[in-house]
Amino acid sequence: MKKLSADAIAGLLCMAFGIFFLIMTATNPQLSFIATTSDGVPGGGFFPYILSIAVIIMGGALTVRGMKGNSRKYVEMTPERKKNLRVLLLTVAGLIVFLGAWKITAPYFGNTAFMVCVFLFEIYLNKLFERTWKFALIYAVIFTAFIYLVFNMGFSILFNA
Amino acid sequence: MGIGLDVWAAGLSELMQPSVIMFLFLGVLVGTMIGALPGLSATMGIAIMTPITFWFDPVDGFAMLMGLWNAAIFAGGITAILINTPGTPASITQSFDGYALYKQGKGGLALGINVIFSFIGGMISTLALILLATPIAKFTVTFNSAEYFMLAGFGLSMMVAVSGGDVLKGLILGLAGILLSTIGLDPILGIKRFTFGNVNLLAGISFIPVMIGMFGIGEVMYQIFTRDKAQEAKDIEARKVNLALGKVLPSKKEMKELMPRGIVASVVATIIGAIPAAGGDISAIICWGNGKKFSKHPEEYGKGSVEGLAISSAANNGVLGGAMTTMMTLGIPGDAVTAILIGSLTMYGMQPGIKMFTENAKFTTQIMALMVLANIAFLILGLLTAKVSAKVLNVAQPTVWAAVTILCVVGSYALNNNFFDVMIMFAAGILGFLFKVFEFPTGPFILGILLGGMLESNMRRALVMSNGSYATFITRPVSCVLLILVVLTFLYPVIKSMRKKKTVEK
Repeated sequence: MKKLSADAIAGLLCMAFGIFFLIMTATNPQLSFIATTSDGVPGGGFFPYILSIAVIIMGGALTVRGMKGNSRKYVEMTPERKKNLRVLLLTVAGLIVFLGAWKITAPYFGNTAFMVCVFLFEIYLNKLFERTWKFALIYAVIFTAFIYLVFNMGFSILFNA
Repeated sequence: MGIGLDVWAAGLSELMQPSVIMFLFLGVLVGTMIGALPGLSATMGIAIMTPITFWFDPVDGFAMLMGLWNAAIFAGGITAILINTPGTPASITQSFDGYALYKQGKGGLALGINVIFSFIGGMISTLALILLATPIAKFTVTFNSAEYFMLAGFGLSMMVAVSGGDVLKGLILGLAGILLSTIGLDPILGIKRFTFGNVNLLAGISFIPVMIGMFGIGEVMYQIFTRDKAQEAKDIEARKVNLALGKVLPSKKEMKELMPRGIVASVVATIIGAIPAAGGDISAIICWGNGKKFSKHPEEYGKGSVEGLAISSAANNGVLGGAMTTMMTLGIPGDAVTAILIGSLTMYGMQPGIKMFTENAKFTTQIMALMVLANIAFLILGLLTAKVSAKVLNVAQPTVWAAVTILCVVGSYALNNNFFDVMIMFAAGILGFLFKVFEFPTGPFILGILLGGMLESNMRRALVMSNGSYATFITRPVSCVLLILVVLTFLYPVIKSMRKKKTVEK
């Protein structure tokens, strides 16, 4: 089976996005194409209908273009890129864990939980970016102190999520 | 209507506060660092700093943002001159001549020319903003919903046509952005749309977290993914070289020769800046290219032409006043930064457009004056620190990535003390990364989200007023002209590709 090009996949995703909004509009009786209050005047569903259909059509066009001739590769996966991708995925994973940990612990420990999470996340990121332990620790301390001084003390913002 | 001298006097008297001057210089300092660090752009800086400035008085907040923006664009030239890497996309042409001058031992002069002509470009475009904004705003008094609908459509069509190579992709993202802007309460009937029972979505998708995600986290992800350690090592070696910089200030004779071309470039840049989506990079390329064409010494361009560098420097800061004019008078952003500034003004309860010259006239005068002060501030700071600015470049990119990641989280949360905004920022970051990798232009998407509400509410309002007759968009002269422009904007790439095909066939 022929592999789909990146543009074809992107086109299909755009179509899926448009179809989702079209279904959501069609299944909501309040979102009519024409308003029920005055004749000929667009209703709440006017824009969503037109736009979702347009996105589906354009997404279809991108898919067809991608399948026909555009077999262009946007990303050349060199060994260095593969390594970079690993670092990127670990950064995103770390960010998800950081946000999750903040959200879960904030109701119990409030702003302190956020500061601890920032401190640990900064160490994690610096180690991931191949910095030394000494650098990572100093960086995390300074940066956490900066966030605390500027946002907590300066602007009185508490990160209680 | 019009801004009287009394309004100017009241506005200026409030500006002469120590806090305003302090935040202005702080903004210039941060902007210089952001602009001088490759990988950090003015847009990223403004996106991250905007939520922080919401905690200030509006004048203090805008002082910081104006200082940061103006300085970041000028400072992009520092890296272009010293390590041949544009700090911001707008400084692309400065590397052509600036780096060659540095290698010839005239780095100081190149840095000086960068500061002086960025200042000239910025001042001339700000002057245009001050002189032209009121007449344009007066003209818009006659606008009603039909014109505003067409205006938003024109802004979007320009963004699709200008911002990236692939019109189809731009069009898809523009439409998707408008579709996402329909989330929340219907602007006319107040019906909930696509909120899925989530109260956070009632007011729609917050624009600033989207910008922070796209230009902050998204950019960091892209830089991690495309990291080239060999190039990084080369850059580090280049920084170690530290060639002699020589004198910073150009001679009187040099200034006399360069001034006319610098002024012309500034005027052209102001006009380009006023066109939605045409930013500093486009302006710099157009001005540098034409400068070479009309120069007495075109052979020197790209090999260390002081004239070429002066034109490039004036051209990239020259767009700022033009972009501000379009943003403040019509509510259409000239570039990504002015898009964020619209979000800023909205958060302060102000609406760009005619109301900026009536209800908020004093604040408008303060923004204009802050643009002037920002230019003066970076001129002073830039000339004083020209020789030490190279030191800023010694910050490694991973250090910046780690800081930006946390600042994006903190900034998006600080907007409304809402975790949901952080989630929006994170999702926008991933989207921004994917858009960049697969070469989808982000401009139309952002403008779609920003202008979607304006587009929809004005179109439906116009139809309500015309009892459902679409003829209202054609019978009103300004609306009709804008409609023709929208059609031409979309047809231009098609005609261009057809002509290209014909030329190839011949």
